[in-house]
Amino acid sequence: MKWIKGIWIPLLVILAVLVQGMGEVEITTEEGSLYGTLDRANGHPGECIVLIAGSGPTDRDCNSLVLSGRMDSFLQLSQALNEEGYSVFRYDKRTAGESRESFGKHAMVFDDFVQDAILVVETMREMGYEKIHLVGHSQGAMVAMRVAQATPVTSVVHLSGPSDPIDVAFLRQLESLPKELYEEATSTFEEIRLGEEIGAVSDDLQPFFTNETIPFLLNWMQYDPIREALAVEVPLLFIGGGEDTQVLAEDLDEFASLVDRAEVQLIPNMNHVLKRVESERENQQSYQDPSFVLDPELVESIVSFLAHT
Amino acid sequence: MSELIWKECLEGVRRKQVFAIGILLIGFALLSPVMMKALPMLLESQTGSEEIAAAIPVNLRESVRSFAKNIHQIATLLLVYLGAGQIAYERNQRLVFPIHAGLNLRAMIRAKVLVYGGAIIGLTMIATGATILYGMLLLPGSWKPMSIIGWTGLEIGIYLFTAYLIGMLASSMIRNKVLATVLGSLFLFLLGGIAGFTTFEWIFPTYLMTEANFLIGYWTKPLMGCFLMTVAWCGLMIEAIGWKLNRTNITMQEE
Repeated sequence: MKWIKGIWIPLLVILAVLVQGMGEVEITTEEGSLYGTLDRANGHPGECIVLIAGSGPTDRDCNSLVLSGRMDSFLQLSQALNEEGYSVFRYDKRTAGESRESFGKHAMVFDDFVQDAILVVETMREMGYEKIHLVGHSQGAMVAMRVAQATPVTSVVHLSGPSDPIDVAFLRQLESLPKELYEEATSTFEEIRLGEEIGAVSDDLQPFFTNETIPFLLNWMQYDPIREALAVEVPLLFIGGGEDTQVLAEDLDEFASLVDRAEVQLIPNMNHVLKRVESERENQQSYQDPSFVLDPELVESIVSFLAHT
Repeated sequence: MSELIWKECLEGVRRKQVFAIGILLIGFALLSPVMMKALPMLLESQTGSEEIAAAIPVNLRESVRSFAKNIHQIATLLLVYLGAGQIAYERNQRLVFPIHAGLNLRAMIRAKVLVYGGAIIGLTMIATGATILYGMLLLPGSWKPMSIIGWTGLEIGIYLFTAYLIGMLASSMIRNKVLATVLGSLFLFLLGGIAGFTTFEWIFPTYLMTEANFLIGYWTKPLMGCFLMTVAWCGLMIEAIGWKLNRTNITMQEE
């Protein structure tokens, strides 16, 4: 064992580097590569949960490029599901993390996210997983429902996604804006829907309506969540949070009343980023502070749903 | 080796260094929740504005973060000084006769590292536990971060141990302990600065404090890598201290 004495330091360095590559998966598309992490577990052999992140440049841990700090919602969810014996795959969207470096700046539409997720599901199947469950969060929930119609999956968990098409949901979030701005946003969405060229928009609205976002929005707006949910044939669970200020509990009620065969679960203290919060201040902080933990009811609900799919 | 470890334990108790580390860490630990609780009152009395006082979040999270921040700023400096002082003391005052009697310098360094490393890491974990438990009693909110006691305590503890080793390394190169402390602290400060600008922040021990501030009780790949890299850095420093002292002319000197 004397030889170890001379090489233990380089060995540790090599081990530290190897740890960074643990579970890394690269999925090549025509435009670039998607990078993700497969956290393996042995409790449910042949089953894999694919996590699909929400809007914005969101990475595999559910952290956004545009927010300082971390929220780690998917990292925490993945570790919790691993403890329950499920293998979990989560990936950087093409607009975030390592995938962003590979794709670079490019024009894209909502359907690109759907195609990416289909490719992810196919890759997991090639890796030997027969039962693939999709867990989509916010925008990712709509992606998951589209994917479930395009390729065989075992079930879909719809987390904190709106029940209205994105233009309606988006306008609802803009209700707090001054009346003129709100009306301008409404008419701009109408112009986009009709395929008309939009004129100059106010400075406050410019980040939402750029040459890059308009084709993306137009593509996304054509999907009605209720219609998409009705078209999904595999078991479907809707989960919403009582403290979610972006997607309200009424959205969950709407899914419950219109999508008969789906299961619906409201988690009273959960916010939009899946954390348990107790005040408005905590709700805001949890978007940038990973010390806020996932609502334990979330993991319980997902696990009990997956157990009978 | 066991004799050397026992000697270091006795020496640590005799010179009250272990007690000093303990008092410092646990003092900060108990003071942080009290300060957090008193902060709105202090602000209100200073500014006369209830609104400013109310805007400051008073909770356990902020209290534990303030503990980690204070420890980072003050304990780091004192531990660099402790490491520097110990090597300066040995080389200037005590090593002449033991070396002539055949003392293995590397074994002496390892004994120090084991005793003081254990004390620093152990006491930091106790202090982290104390600040969290006391904060739970004193401050509002239902956050009960029992799982982070081990994690955050270990992250801060290993970082402080690294600071202690940097002090030792600096003192093995410079005979004057004050100069060695300045050099060691400067090095640590620069390391933090460089780490912040790189994509591979996790390869530096300073990343442990970044993670400690997140107050999370779970593994991340960068954190796992950082633990391994920090052990490697510490091993390298221990070897370097032994190597340097073996090539140093040890003579009795006034400090």
